[in-house]
Amino acid sequence: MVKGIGYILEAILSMFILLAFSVGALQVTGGEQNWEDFQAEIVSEDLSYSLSQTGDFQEFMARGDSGAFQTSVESITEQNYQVSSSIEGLPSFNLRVSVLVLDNENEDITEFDELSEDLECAENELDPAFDLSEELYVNTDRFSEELYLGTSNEGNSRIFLNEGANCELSLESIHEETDIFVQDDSDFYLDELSTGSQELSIFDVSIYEEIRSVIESNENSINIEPEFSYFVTENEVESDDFLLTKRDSVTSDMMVRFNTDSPNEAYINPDEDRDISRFKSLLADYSANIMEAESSSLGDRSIEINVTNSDNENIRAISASVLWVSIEEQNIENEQFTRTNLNREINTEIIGSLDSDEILIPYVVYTRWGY
Amino acid sequence: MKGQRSLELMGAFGLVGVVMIATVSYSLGSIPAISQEADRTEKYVETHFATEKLFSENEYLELSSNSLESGLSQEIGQYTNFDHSVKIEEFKVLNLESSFIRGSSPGSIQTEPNYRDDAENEVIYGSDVVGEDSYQFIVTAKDGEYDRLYRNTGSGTWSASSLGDTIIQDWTVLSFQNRPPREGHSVVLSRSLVEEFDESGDNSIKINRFGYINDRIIRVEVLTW
Repeated sequence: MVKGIGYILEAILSMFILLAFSVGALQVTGGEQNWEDFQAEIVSEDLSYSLSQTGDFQEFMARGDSGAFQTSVESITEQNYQVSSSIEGLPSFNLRVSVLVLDNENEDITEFDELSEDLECAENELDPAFDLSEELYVNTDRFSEELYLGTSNEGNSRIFLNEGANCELSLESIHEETDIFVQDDSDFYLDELSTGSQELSIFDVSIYEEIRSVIESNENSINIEPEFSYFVTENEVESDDFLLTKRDSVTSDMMVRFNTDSPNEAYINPDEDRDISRFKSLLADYSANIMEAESSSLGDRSIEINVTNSDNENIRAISASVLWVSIEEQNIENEQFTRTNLNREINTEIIGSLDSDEILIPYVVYTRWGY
Repeated sequence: MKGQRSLELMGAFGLVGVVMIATVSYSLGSIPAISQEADRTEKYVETHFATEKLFSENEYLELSSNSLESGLSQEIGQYTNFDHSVKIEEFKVLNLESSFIRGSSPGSIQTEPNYRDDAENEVIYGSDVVGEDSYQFIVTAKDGEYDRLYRNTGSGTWSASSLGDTIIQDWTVLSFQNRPPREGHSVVLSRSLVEEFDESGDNSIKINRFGYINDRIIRVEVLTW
């Protein structure tokens, strides 16, 4: 009897082993679904890349037309695939350029003549611009036009350039501190201005104004509105320090230090020594300057950095810009898939650049594909 | 008692025997499915490899017109032993940047087309290259949906096309962009380069690859069996 039970137990055990073997070893997985995923990954990668290479994606980007991207993908993939992307927040829209001008590169104009009785320009013509109860001074040496220095009705020091020697007052010819004025085909940044001490401190920033005009150009329908500002420093920063600021930033302005001996290294806020290496580099020549575009990732954000280094020895200044790619993956959620029942979603990144004149504007766009 | 034990032994043998037979028959039954799945896997992997080799001969995913002329099918055949057939379609996205109100066209447009009476006032326009030549295009909407494409055929005349119409050199209007935020600013054209799969067999698999020639997207559908 006991032996009989043993036989039965052995038989049951054998059956379980055989069943386990047959179920475990011979299981055919659902390959159909896997191959559909495989195909979807190929489609998303292929089309992301191909649409970038044909220039179509850049066109969509330039127009801010996410709908065209979706329509093209649906058409080309025979309606099987949907794509959602966030292409607003082009890095170029968040551009702020800060130029450091070293204080010892300035030019002071101090040779002024007093003007009281024999005004070159009639009093009534200067009246809107200057408080004529104060002294008015003129310099005729530095520029081809007469330069008047005086006090405005509000009490600020200001200059007036007698354009065409006709005393033609216009807003463009009246300037105060931090203004840019054009004279003799050069752009000057008006740093310090004092009627009392008859001093004028100017910097030739023609190179940077030229860069600004290129950045602001409206090529490819890209409406770029960079903030451009000049900072005059007193040699307190090193030549390889750049002041970089970000528009709409919740954090304070930051300093980026590039290691010029090792171009692939850079530090955010040098005191903190936060390494943002792993740069990719793109090179684009612009005029006589060297422009390097570098990209890196900083936490959950990507940044693009352009550095323009002037070789002009007369002005030792550096222009730097930060292109913030403010697109975060969660923004994709705001874009609605038109089809709600999706089997699977695949995320891709499209990295490229827009050509605007001779300036390259790099971008990273996160896309989500569904089918 | 001995007889009872023999019966129990025989019963146990019988049970194990039945399960063994069931297991073996289940295993044998599964072999075709496994074999078929392995076969499918091999076809997918080999077809993918073949297309990958094809695309990477130039730049990644860049096709040359030589490839198309010599026949992608033959080129893919160098890398796979399976029977296969390809279908190739070409796509061109017309990107039209600007718009104007009917009757007040910019100077670049000498004459406007004869619009439908019920076309909306704002029309989209731009120029793009199709085939060898550059053309001016105008897209109009009706009831909020862009659905008509006008192509300047030269000397101030325009030809109108709707979805599915052939506009030039076998290029057919495939879709109008009707999604926000810039409705009407793009139109997708397509044309067949290799029209149909010339043959196919049982248990075939299909892989779609996308590449490009110049500014045109190419869809290569490879059927392998």
